[in-house]
This record gives sequence, C-alpha cells and structure tokens, in this order.
Amino acid sequence: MSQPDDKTLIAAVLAGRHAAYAQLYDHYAPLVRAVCYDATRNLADAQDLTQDVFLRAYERLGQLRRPEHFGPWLIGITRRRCRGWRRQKARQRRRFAALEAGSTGTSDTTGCTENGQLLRLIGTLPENERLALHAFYLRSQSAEEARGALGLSRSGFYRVLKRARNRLRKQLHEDQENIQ
Amino acid sequence: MSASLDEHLHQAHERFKREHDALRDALIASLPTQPPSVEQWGRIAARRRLMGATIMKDRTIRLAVAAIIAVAVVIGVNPFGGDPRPAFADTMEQIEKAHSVVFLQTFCHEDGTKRFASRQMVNEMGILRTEMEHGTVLISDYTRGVTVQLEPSQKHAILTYRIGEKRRTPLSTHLSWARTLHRGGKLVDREKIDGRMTNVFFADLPFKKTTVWVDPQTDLPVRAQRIEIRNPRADIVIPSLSLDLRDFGGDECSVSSMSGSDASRGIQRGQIILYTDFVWNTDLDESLFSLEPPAGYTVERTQHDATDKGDLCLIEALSLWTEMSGGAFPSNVDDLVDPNLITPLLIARFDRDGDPKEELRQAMAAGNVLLKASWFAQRHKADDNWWYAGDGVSLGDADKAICWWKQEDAETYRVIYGNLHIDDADEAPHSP
Repeated sequence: MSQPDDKTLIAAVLAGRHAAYAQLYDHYAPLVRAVCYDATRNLADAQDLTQDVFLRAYERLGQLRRPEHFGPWLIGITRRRCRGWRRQKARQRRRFAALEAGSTGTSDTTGCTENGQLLRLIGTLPENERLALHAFYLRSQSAEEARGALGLSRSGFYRVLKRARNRLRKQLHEDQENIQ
Repeated sequence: MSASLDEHLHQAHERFKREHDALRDALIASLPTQPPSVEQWGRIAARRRLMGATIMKDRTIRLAVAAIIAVAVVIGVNPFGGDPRPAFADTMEQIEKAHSVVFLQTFCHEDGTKRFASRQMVNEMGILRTEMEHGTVLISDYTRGVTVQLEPSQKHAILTYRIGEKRRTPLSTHLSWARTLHRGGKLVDREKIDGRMTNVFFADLPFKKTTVWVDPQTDLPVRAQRIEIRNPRADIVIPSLSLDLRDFGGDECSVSSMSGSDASRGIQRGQIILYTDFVWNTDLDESLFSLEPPAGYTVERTQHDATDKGDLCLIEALSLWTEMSGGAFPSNVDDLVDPNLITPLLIARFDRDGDPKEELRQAMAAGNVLLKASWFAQRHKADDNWWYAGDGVSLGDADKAICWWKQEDAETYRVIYGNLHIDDADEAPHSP
C-alpha cells in the first residue's frame, strides 16, 4: 500500500487524527533532527529541538495554506527555532563567560569518529547544500523524495547535491592531507 | 575514509533515526486532544495586509503599535487573541528565566514508603547545594567540575575534582524532570495543591513517568513526581559498589559507595522521587554555595574520573580483573560488579597495611573502572547487542574472543580477544 501524501495526512490531522501526525513525524523528523544537529552539534539538544518544532508545527498546522508544501514549511520553522536556540545559547555563554573559561563544552563525544568528522564538515557547508545532503541520505538516497521534501525542482536539486558532494570530498581530502 | 563517501554519509545519517519511535510516541502523547484550529485565509490575508501595507510602512504608526503591544503584554492582554491552552513550553521558559530555586527531594521505595530526603538549592550560577537529613552538605559546581562534601559533625570536608564530565551551567539542567516534560509533556488534568488550582502535565517515556503540577499564575512548578521503573530483564544488573574503611584497617565505620545508572534503558533502581516545597526566585546567600570549606575543617582532596571511555574502559576492567584473579577472565561480565566476588578481590589487592583512607581511595578508583565497564556492557545488553564468552579463557589467549558487540552506525562487530586486543570483525565470532 502506498504512503498517503502530505496533503491527505494534514487533512486527517486537522480532522483530529493523531496517527496521521505520527506518519508525518516518521517522514520528516530525521531530517528536522539533522538540521537541528547542524545548529547544536549535540544529538540530545537536536532531539529536544525537533520535539519543539513538531509541537509548534502542530499548533500552526491550521495556518498552512498549501499542505503539499508541508516539508519546506516545516524546515522554515526548524530554521527559525535553531536561530532562537543559538541566540539563547549565546546569551548564556556571555552570562557565564568567566566561569566557562577552560570548560570542555558539551558536543557529542561521538564527534571523534569518522562519521562525527563527516557531520562536522557537513555543518560547514552552505545551508542549501546541507539540506540537500541530509534529505538525500535520510530518504534512502532517493532524489525524487528528497527534492519533494525541500520543494526544489529536479535539476536544481541535482545541482545543489552535486556541489555539496564535491565540496565535501574536497574538504575531506584537505583534512586528510593536513593529518598526514 | 576507507569506505566510499556515499556509505559514510549514509551511516552518519543513521544517528538521526536513534530513539525515533520513543520520541514519536512521546510527542503524539503530548498533543492536545482538540485538532489544530483552521484559520480562515481571508482573516490571515487581512491581518498581513494590515501589517505590511499600513503599519510597517509608516515609522510613527510602527512605533505606536509596538508601544501598544508592549503595554498590552505588561498588563497581561494578548493583543492578537489566540489559543489560551497552557503549554509546558511556557513553564520551561519561566524555569530558564529563574535565578534560584529551593525544593525538597524525597526518595521513596516503589511502594511509596520513604527512603530519605534532601533539600536542594540552585543559584543563578547553576551551583547546586544539597542538604541531607543527617547533616551532610554537598555543594556541586558542575561548571568547574568541583564538589565539596561537608561533614559538620566531624568538621571534615572532601573536595572532589570531577574529570571528563559534561559541564552543566544553567539552573534548569538540575531539573531533569522538567526537561523530560519539555520533550513531550501533555496537559492531562487540573488539580488543587495546597489550596491552589494547578495544571497537571504528564510525560510517559520508557522506564520513567513524570508528572509536574504547575501554578498557572506563575507558570512555575509547585510539585513534581518521577516514577523510575527498573528494566524488568533479569540479565541486566545495576552496577554498584560499596567498600568500608574498616576493611582496609580503619577504626571507624565509613562506607564509600557508587553506582551507575541509565534511565533511558531502565538500568536503575525502581523508585519514586517527589519534588515538593518549591520556592522560586528567592535571594540565596552566596556563602551557601561557597566551595571553600569552613574554617576549622580538615580538608581531604580527591579526584573522580567520570570520563566515558567506552570499550577502553572494558579492556582496563578486564585487565584489572585478570590481575586480581590470577589470569582468568570472569565467567560472566556481571561478575565485575558482583559484591561477593569483587569486594574480597579489591580488599586483597589494595589492603597493604598502609594509610587506610588512601587504600580505600585506590580501591574505589579501581572499582570505578569495573563499574563503568559493567555499565557499558549493561547498556549494550539492554539493546540486545552484547555477547560474552570469557568463561574459561585466560589472559593471553589471542585467538579466543572474550566479548563483542555491534558498532553504532555500522554492520561490523567490535571484538575483544583474550590478549586484550580489540579489533573490528565483519561477522560475530560465535555465540557463547
């Protein structure tokens, strides 16, 4: 049985069916978590922010004019929430600057692994390239699904994805040369 | 990068699917029963026209509207109307803004009978003061990684420097129950507490159920309760260790204990914790949070390694065990924290007729290694990702696999062999 499209699911949510929102969550939450991780560099914080994003999206779902654009709309909420989170963190850092001198920070310890290194490098890419990579690799490398989630044209998506992969490959190469 | 970029990118993204089902269930449970209201686009468009075409184009009108909104916010009027349904996000916002909190924390058995209580105080720097019923006071500054334990009856202070621990600063990080609600709490009821009507929020996450009663006037908690449920699986143990100074030649009864837990996997004692008698935003004397022991106290300095070294800790623990047991590996990984086995081994290893306190400290440091290794194994067991085959194997048997588990984000296994060498393998060695 094929998965109902976003428009159908949103209509069901507005009719009071939570199960439909669970399906939207299953479809989009990993992507939202990845975007949040780019901002937080910490999986627990990214998970917290994701929950917050989905709660906000639920409360505002009735204002979504074009339900078929749920994906880009949700990513917009995510980006705004991440900006808010960064501002809040910056305030906290200023407030506790004196005490935090010499502290070790709270980024994931898993960041030392190859995959952690890769995610750190993704975090340095331009935003549209980051999004394209996340969407592509979280959607079983299906370009069609990924571009749908971001609301991009087919040619536009491939161009951004290619640029992101080239840039990443180059950075990895440079990193390895630096190590050697 | 040994594998292709594609494979690595795919693996790296797998982490964003972790705990997905539990998080989804928590979120869905926290949604209001009423569906979101559909706002008429005509109204929204009219509001946008008003904002964009009229208000935002004129500086004077813009400032006047901003002033009206500011006044409306101060006197508690919501100028745009909206949903009056209480949300825990509002409470979390007030908690984040709070500059201090004092509350009573009571630990109870699963049947509700009291075990012990302590008064907790957190100041705006995020320093935590815990006053135990029997008089002991703990002051913990997690930003600097220092804890001072004061024993007023003996005029003795123990300064512990914690290494490798996450630095926590804001006040809210000491209120883990509130953060749980923030991740997926649901308004379930309204209830009177001490004559005040409160909003009751509830979150049901694996192995912990959290309830918080919030005063709608202040949006701050007045009571909270966490029910911690132990993982029912018989093969999962809670790593813990207690040693007595008298076992090392000391005269007085002084027991040092430690334990490891992981609430997300239920590696914990089944218990109920109550948080009551809240006082928010009160002025707390700075001296209450001083890490300087009072004059006249004897001071003992110690260090606690809280680093999570993962597999390296397991190797260190197995090495220590074989050293204490004459070369044989434990028959079961749980032996590492079995008090009947480990207590005599640690006493035999560290009781050298020297300073009993120093010997106890060394024994506890070694015990800490065993505890962390056991905790690492229990977490993998809870994920059905742990195999142990050390029974009957001796140190140096390079061909024999002692234990293995599947690596995160990968299909390969991490294997520790009898010579304490660690390596990756495409397939599991063999089932024990």
